Amino acid sequence: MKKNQHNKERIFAPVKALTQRFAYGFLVVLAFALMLTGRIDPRFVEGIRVHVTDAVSPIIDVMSRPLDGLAELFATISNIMDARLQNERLQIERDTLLHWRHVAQQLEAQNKELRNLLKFNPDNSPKFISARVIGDAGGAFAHTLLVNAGKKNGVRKGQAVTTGNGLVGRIQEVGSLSARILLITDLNSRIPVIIESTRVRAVLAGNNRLKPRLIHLSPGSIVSPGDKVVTSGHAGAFPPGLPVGEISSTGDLGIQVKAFVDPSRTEYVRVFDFGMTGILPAPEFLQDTNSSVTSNTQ
Amino acid sequence: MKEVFFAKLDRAARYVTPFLLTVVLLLISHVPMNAPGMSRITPLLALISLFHWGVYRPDLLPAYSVFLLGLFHDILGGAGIGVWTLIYLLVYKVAELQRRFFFGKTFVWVWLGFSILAAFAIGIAWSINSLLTGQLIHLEAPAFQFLTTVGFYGPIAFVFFYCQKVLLVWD
Repeated sequence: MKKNQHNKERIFAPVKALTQRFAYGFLVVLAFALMLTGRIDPRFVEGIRVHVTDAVSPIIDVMSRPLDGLAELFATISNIMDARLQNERLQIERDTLLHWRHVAQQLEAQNKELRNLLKFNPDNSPKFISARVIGDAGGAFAHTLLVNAGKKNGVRKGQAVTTGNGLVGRIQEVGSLSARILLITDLNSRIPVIIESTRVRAVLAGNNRLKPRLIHLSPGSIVSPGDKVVTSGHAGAFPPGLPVGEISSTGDLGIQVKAFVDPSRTEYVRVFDFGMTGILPAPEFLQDTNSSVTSNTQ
Repeated sequence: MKEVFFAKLDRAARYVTPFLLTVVLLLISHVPMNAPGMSRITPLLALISLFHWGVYRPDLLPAYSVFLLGLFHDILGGAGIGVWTLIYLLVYKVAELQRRFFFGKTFVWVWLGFSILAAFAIGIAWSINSLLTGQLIHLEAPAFQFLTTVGFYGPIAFVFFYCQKVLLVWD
């Protein structure tokens, strides 16, 4: 027995020493390999990411609950600090809104009449899924959020994510219980938009800063600070007309847009299901359509 | 027999403590703070942990654990995979190699050492992410992240020293 153990030690001792010596180098090479794999086959990496995030999301969800109290505290403090200014602003806003309500009522009545005349068939109204923001992932190099709704709740890749104020981003990855939102400020975010008043088309490009920029404007188009930017619905990624933000400056840094939504203060979001596949069609969706096509032909 | 079992359990607990503490810190840094602008400059709490254990007890955190922690960071964050894995391995190795320098030094020296290493880590993250995305990322957010990370070093290190005293008695 002892001899056997001694033999074992004699064989494994050099192997053990060798692995210990090269383990670090091996791990560094593996890290580089991972980086390359992420570039070459993003789907593989995405698969792993989705599963791990799904497993961890309940833990982060529980951990984030006590912080809601902290969020309320921040909100209360800032509310108290500018209560007077806010009051004045709200009164002005109320007067304007009352006027608009009147206009809207008139238009609604007119619209109804015209629809009756045309026998207009309205679009199916969109469904939405409410989700809680459980993770603020990404840090300085990526702008993403994690939410506690996934495939089981009907969330699909490419769907638009909004709050009451405007567009937050789109669904980048979906697990069965969690999903990752790519914010409009992320470096990889490109959203086809339109300037509401002038109908100038552009692309809203994130740059990892608080204010994304407008690029690819049609030549000769004029934009000015304060112009409202909404989604254009081109490329089939988003439905048209979702509010995004307003142009804040047109200086040397390019045309900057201040988003209507501050992601760092967002606790709940709405994931919109407009029945659009988006620029990133999910593989399962393609399979579904294929199978439905075949079943139709049969 | 019973004593052997508990001794083994005790040993296992010692070996797992630094790893679990780092996992908890990683999770904390991904919880939404709901403070304006905070999400983009959340401190790299796990980096503090790696530095601490690399300097004071490298025997309790083997390289493959560091690799797994880095991978976990990459998976939780939305940026390219493998980036923080590599940085974690590098930071840990440098901390481990320089540990003799930090022995017997005052807190300020250790803090300074950590600051240099954190700047180096965030610098690499910035370069790799810029390379991977093909454009220069603005330095604003990484710079603030560096400041918050360095700022959080004190309290976190204090907690670690306490854990070392209570859970992991110096051999």
